[in-house]
Amino acid sequence: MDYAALLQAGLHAISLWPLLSLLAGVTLGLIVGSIPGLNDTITLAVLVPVTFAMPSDIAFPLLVGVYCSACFGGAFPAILLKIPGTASSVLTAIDGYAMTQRGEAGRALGIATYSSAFAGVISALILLFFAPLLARYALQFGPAEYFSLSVLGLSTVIGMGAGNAMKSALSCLLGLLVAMIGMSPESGFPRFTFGNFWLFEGLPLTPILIGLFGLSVVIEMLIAKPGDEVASASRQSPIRFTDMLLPWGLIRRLLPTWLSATTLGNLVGILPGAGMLVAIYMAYERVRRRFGERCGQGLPEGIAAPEAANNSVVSSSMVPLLSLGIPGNSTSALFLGALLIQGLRPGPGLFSNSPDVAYLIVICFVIANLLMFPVGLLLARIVPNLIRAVPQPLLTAAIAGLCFTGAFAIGNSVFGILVALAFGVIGFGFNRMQVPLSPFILALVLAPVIERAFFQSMSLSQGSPSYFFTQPLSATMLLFTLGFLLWPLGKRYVLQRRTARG
Amino acid sequence: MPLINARLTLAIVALSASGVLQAADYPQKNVNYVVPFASGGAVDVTGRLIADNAPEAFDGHKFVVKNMPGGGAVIGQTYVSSAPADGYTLLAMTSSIINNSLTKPVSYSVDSFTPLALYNLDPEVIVTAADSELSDLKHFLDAAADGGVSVATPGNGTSHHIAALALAQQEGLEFRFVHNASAAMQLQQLMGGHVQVSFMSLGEAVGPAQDGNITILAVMDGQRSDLAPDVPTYQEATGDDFQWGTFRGIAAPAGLPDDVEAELESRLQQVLTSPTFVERMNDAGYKVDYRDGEAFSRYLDTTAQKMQKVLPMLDTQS
Repeated sequence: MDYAALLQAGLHAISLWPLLSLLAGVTLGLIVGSIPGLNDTITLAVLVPVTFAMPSDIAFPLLVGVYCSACFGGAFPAILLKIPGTASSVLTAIDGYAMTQRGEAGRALGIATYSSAFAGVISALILLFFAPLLARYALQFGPAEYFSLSVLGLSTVIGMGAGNAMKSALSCLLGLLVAMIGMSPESGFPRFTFGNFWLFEGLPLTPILIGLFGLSVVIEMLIAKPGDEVASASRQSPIRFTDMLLPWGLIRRLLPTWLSATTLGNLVGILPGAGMLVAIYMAYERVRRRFGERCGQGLPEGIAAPEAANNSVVSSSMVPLLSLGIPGNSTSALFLGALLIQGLRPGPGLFSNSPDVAYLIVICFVIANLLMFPVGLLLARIVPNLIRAVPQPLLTAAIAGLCFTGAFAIGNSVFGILVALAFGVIGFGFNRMQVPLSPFILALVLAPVIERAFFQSMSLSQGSPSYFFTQPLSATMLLFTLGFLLWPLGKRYVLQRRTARG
Repeated sequence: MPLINARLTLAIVALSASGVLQAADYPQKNVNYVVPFASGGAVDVTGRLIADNAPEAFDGHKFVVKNMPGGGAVIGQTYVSSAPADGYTLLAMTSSIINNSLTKPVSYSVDSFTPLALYNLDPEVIVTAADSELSDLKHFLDAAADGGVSVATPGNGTSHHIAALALAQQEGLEFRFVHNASAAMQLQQLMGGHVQVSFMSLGEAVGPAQDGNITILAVMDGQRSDLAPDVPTYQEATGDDFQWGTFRGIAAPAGLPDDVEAELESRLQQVLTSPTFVERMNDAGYKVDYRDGEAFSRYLDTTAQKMQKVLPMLDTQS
């Protein structure tokens, strides 16, 4: 490692223009992240062409700032309105909104801010020091490992129904069914498309999320009687800075959760295509296993785990890009474009050929996560009070407007709005019947990965299912899955024995 | 009185100005540039480079890039095929237009579009991991003749999948296909040693090959490429000719008025051959290879013929 270049890049990063550009990026990222339907990918796609004309020490701080803070911004509407601003905060909404209903919105936003900043900084440091090492590990993941990891991820839905496993399973199966719409990844055969080309690639994920989480809340608001306002919880006393600063005791209590979520986020985040959702679900599952029933009723760890995991994934998704030249997700693919346009090619040579820019980018990740802390606290001071000031009908209309705009913007088509509307009604029904939405989302996202990895493995092993068990990594993950599945049964057995004896 | 004079002058100026514009009243407003893929891919990046350089040649009017992903580009292509043929809706046209119209129940064909300009050709390459035992084309062909080679593609029915099928048909080979959802996953599987061979575009392979992570066995083009001068063409290595590649171009809906078509073609040529555009494309890793509308049409026809031959092997109904 070239420490002289690192120090130089560090000093460069905190000079006036790079720092200002980074600050602008972080602020912009927070804003787009907190608007349902807008996310980091859309914002970066618009920004990357603009950066052609900029020098690289202005361009990259801006892009890094947006990328780092967008998924943190998603936590704001998740906590205050139960509408996740980005897909990465779908789980934050569960405990976050429960805390808001208890009148602890300030505390919840504080936890989200601390968790995101903590995990973000740690993961950025990991990116700085261990990227090449981790990239080698990521390459070990072949089709069998992707299959087992996704099955393991899917097994976390078991406990999500707040004690009602049947409802969780139902939600999960419905998600798998919706995921079947579209062309088969193996043969290209269209399934459930009825010859309609809008359905060829399956239903688009973002409009589904906008419908399930955003429009379902709008419908809830519309049918609510005046007086018992749905969003009334966020309308309690204004949030003060002191609410958001966490006492030392709580920080000590959350530290183990942060560390385990950061570890998980880094391990899953460096795998190209594995994604954000697997990491946050696995982190949340760990919390649920530890706290049981209390999870979902406004538990601080329930916010800390997914928020720490999603910011870890952001930094670690840069690992395969910077050290191998393989973009880990669609957002880091845009970084690839931005680097190429600046005449830089990511790969093993990046840090030796142009250490100034390479180290600058990585250091920007560290500083962006630090900046998120004050900017996040400031925004947390303004936004909830702003929401409180807006009358309920206007708020409902504004949310609906944002949802429709976002659903349209994804594919520039009315089809997105139709999908969002349909899933708005479905989400409303789920909420009414108290069927959890999160197993549905996870199944929807993981089904194509599982299916593709299964067919790939079958092609490589010439049709032998033992392939999944002869690869050590894959076999280990499948064993864990089995353990997760048997856990509730085992627990019940032990409890029964104990009560019988007692 | 002076006010009336000023108004009169203004009116006369406006009249005469519109008279000048009458000869070619295109372009009058911004142009929609439809990219039928999600943001971030090669077509999107190059499309935004074009949009960035367009206002100079289009009298200050902008190209507005519209991403319309879905259906393997079918949604964006359908949208443009049924858009008014007035020159204000253009399509980023790629090879997918041919496979889509041949393999899917779509409402358009290649003839539903007016090809205006081709700006980038990317020949197909065969690559292996750097430490692979299939170290040259000969080894690869021998192993594939026995039916034991695994081949990664970025997706079923993509141009790269069809290239592999076409080669298999011509040389009597048999592959075990591993279909992915993206080129990034394809590269990851190759570098991790999970699959033996990949079919991809030269532009995607050059970087990892320079890093020493993958080896390019052959380029499926008539001549060697400047980007990888040491790599033999397929014909040099085997004696048989086999050419394949993807293209990126610009098209409008069919039925464009002749004067608008001529206007568009010359203005697009101005954009696509301007030194700034060529330089930026080079920086981003794409070589500009400009062909006019007529040459683009001919190229489309030959490619369609090649694909048609492979079609029976692409068994989408099973």
